[in-house]
Amino acid sequence: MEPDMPLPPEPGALEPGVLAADASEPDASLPLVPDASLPCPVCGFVPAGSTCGDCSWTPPDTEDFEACLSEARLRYDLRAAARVGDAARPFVRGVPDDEQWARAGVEAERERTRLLDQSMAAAVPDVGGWTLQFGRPDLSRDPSTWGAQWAFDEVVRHDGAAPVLIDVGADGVSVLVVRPDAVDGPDDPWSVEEHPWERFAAVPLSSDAGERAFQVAGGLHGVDRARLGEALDTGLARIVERLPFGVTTLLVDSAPGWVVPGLALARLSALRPDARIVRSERPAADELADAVARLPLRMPYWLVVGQYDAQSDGGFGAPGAEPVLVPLFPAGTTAGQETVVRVARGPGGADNDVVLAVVAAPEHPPMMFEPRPVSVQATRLPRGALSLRAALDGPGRVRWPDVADLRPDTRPLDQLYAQTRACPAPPAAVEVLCAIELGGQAGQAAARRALLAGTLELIGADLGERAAVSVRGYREHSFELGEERDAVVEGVWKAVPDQALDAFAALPHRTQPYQSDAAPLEDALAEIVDFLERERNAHGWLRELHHPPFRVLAVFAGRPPHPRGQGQDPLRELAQPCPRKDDWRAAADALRRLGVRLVAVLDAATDPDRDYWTALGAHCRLTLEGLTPRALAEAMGIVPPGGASMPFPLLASVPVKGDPA
Amino acid sequence: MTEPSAPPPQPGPSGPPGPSGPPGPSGPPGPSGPPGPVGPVGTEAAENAVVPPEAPAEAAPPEEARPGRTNIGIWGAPQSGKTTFLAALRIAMSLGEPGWRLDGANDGSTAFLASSTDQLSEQRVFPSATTSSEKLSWRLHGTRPVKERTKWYRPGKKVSVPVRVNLDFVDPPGRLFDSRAASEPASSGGGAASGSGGGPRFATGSPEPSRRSEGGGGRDRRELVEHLAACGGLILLLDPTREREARDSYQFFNRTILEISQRAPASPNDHYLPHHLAVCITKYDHLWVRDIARQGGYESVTDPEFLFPAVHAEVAERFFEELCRADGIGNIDAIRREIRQHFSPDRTRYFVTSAVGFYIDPSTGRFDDENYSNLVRRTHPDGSTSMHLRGKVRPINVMEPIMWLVDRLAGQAPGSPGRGGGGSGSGG
Repeated sequence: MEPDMPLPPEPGALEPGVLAADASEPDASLPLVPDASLPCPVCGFVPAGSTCGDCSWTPPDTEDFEACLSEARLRYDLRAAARVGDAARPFVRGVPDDEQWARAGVEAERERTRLLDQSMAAAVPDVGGWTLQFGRPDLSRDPSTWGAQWAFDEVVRHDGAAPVLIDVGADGVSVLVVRPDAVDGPDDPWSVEEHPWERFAAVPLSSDAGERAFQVAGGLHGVDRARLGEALDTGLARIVERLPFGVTTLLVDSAPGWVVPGLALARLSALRPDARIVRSERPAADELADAVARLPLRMPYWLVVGQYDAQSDGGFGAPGAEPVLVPLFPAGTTAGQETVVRVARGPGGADNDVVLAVVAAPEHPPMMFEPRPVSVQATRLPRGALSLRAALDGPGRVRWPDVADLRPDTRPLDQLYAQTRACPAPPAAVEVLCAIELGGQAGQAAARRALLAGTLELIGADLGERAAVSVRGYREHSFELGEERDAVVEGVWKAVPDQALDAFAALPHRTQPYQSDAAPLEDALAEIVDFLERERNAHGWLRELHHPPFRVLAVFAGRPPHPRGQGQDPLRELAQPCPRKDDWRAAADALRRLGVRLVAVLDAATDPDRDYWTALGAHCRLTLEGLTPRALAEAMGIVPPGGASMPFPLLASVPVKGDPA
Repeated sequence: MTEPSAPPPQPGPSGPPGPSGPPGPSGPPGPSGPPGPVGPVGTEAAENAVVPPEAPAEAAPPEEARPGRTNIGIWGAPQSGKTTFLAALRIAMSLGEPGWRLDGANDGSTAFLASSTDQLSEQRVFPSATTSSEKLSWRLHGTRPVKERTKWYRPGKKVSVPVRVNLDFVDPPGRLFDSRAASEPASSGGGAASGSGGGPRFATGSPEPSRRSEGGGGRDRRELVEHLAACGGLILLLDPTREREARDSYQFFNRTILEISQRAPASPNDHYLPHHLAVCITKYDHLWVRDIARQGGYESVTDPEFLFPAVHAEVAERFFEELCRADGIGNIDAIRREIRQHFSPDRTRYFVTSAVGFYIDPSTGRFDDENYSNLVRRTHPDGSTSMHLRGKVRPINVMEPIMWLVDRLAGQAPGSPGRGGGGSGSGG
């Protein structure tokens, strides 16, 4: 649309400087012959002659003057009310029947379409049209919108000074200052200044929203036209004078056919003669958003993930992770494209949000270039490797269709980067060994089971398949004749955490009598030592020497092990020796030689300073009461200490079997 | 077993008579005078005479008779293991040499013996205390070899003579020798047992200390002290592990020995009490007791089959002294002094016993120095505890005190005064 293209004449449009008569009593009886000083009884416009210049009302000479006048008023009001809709029907003078009302609606729609078509015809560029600098236009929309789409696309592709859009619509005047360089950000790349009609300068419009809409649409018979004109002049001039001179300006008529917006646009066009005028069926902000979304990406989009430079086998304490960028969408990608990334939550991800941060950065950024955040959202990820789909809805709009419960994360990226670097590297593989006393006092036994179950769950959540878990539950030695050498240890060896948890849950609860001063912990220890020695023999001792696995043994106990022989423990005179001749001292020595980290979780009533507990809890001795799985896992060295967590997901490289990705 | 030539019973003095006790087995017993119903055997050693089973005096029910020379009283503090000792005695007889038999002297004693033996050997729990008000007494039947008197030119030969000894359980409920009032209940023992029976107290337990107030006992106590004073032999059970915790053994011992001294007749040859005393130091199977024996070198292997260790009676007194030294807090040494003061060393002998013996692993059939305790303490889900036996009961030195007393009492028989200070004593 050419800037100087004249708008079609609008009925009721006031000419500047034309004063309106007092229209406070529009329905008052008017003289049959119009007085030059009196307003038109139909539209309230003060005519210059016998015929109203606005509504073309000419008083008939026939006797049915009143009928003609009523019909003219009804026709005038229906025209305005049909633009608004049912909300404005009560303000129509007279009582229109449904047929009249429907016909008025059809005529209003036809007029609107005609105006949009006119705008389309005027907006089609003489040469060029859409180029690669634009995104694909939404051709599925009505062709009458193509002109508006093109105009908006041209605005947002502007790389220079911020273009300005002045949207004049049914609700008022909006001034949008577009920032094309901010299209990659998470927020709208424009600022908006709203001037609604009810607060616009001193327009003499009704305070009632429905009646005001009727008036804005053209029902101006009760409006002081002179005052309206003055208010529009004043208000628009204030708006325009604040705009920088020389910037690209687009005047948007988002209420085609409405009278007051038409008056405003005529004045704005006069004030900014270089401005292009475009009609749109929607508010300018919506069209602008669509135009931004149609833009191709000017810079690649990346996902921030955490990566450990060197996987450590020695537990936590190795250097922390580094935030790295994983390509998500290359430059030039337009809305509607999807991509898949494979990620897994990092340490601490079971209890903390994981941030899906998308940033924009060039392929080869200059020095000190800070990637610009595009979308920073937090969510909880399930354990294991995940294939996440990322959908591009336009610059600055990345959607994660497979992730529910996404919340904006307002933390600055710098803080998240620092947190990533502070998260120590987890061991690449962990062997967790647990020996748990199944019997004893019922309440304590239940507490031990609950803690171990929670810990296994946490290990599964945090470490997943990187942890090989062995759980050995020990019952009571039977000192009945012939049953003394029966096996009293059961459980699972080297299973993934889920399987270990299931196997542990299947271990029966023990309620039979027990020895208060000893439990067959030594049997479980002997089994574990035997298992580890077999593992070492299978792997080769040289390999274990050079690449020692990270192994941790947690003992959940309330009673000490049976002594190897009678009198081994002078403080437990009545403690029966192990009938299988297992020796906890020998087992503890072997575990120490095998490099197993030893953690003991003891009942509150248990003295932790006895020699067996100092040996079996060489690294840490904890009290069962009040101990959380997280605290225990920290003591075991299998989760980061101090509740440190990886804010970003880790990049998962190994595809999961059956994964649709 | 050789049948002894059974001479007719000879009524006669059997030790110093009591103040009013008529000599002879058939006479009614005096209040404290020991009857002397020992029928000497007409052999070379009339001093070895024992009571013939057919003695007319025995026609009367034993519980109605006064105790005499052939009566052995078992005496010990509550929870010192008297009931278990009796049950173990019967088992020891069945395991040992044939020829000895233990019978109840009345229905209550028979039932008690059957029940306690069943509990100990079959149910593998400690016998519970008897609640019978009936006096418990048993008859020990057997034979003992004696050297037949022959002409000087003919070689002597040994013959077996029948022996019958009454074994009186002088403190069935374990209360009468307590110093508390008779109306008060006995202190409950550790574990599931209460009273004098039902299992031992343990050094690691928390026995209820007995009251120190004097008095109480009443008529029952007086009667039983008189009964004890009239016995020819006494078995004193001392539980050193209990003394470590409860420290009340001396209290029980002290008052009783004073009362016995008051009632017992004087010894004709010395200033001691006339009784033969077998001091049984129990709980040899306990870790603490055995450690002292092992470290002191008092042990020797006596059992050829299972290779059990045991403390021989010859060194038992020295072991007892060692035990007194090791027990820094109890009053066992005071008991030892009282024993020396009241009982002739020649008539006193020490035995280190264990009623339940050591555990033998069935798979090895040998004593295991690292795994020998025959006791298991079980804690039940409701928090209560009970003691159980792991394996079979194999009493250690349970028969020996009885046999020694039988031998000595026989040696005290009328017509054999010279054996009163026989050489089988500890030598003190």
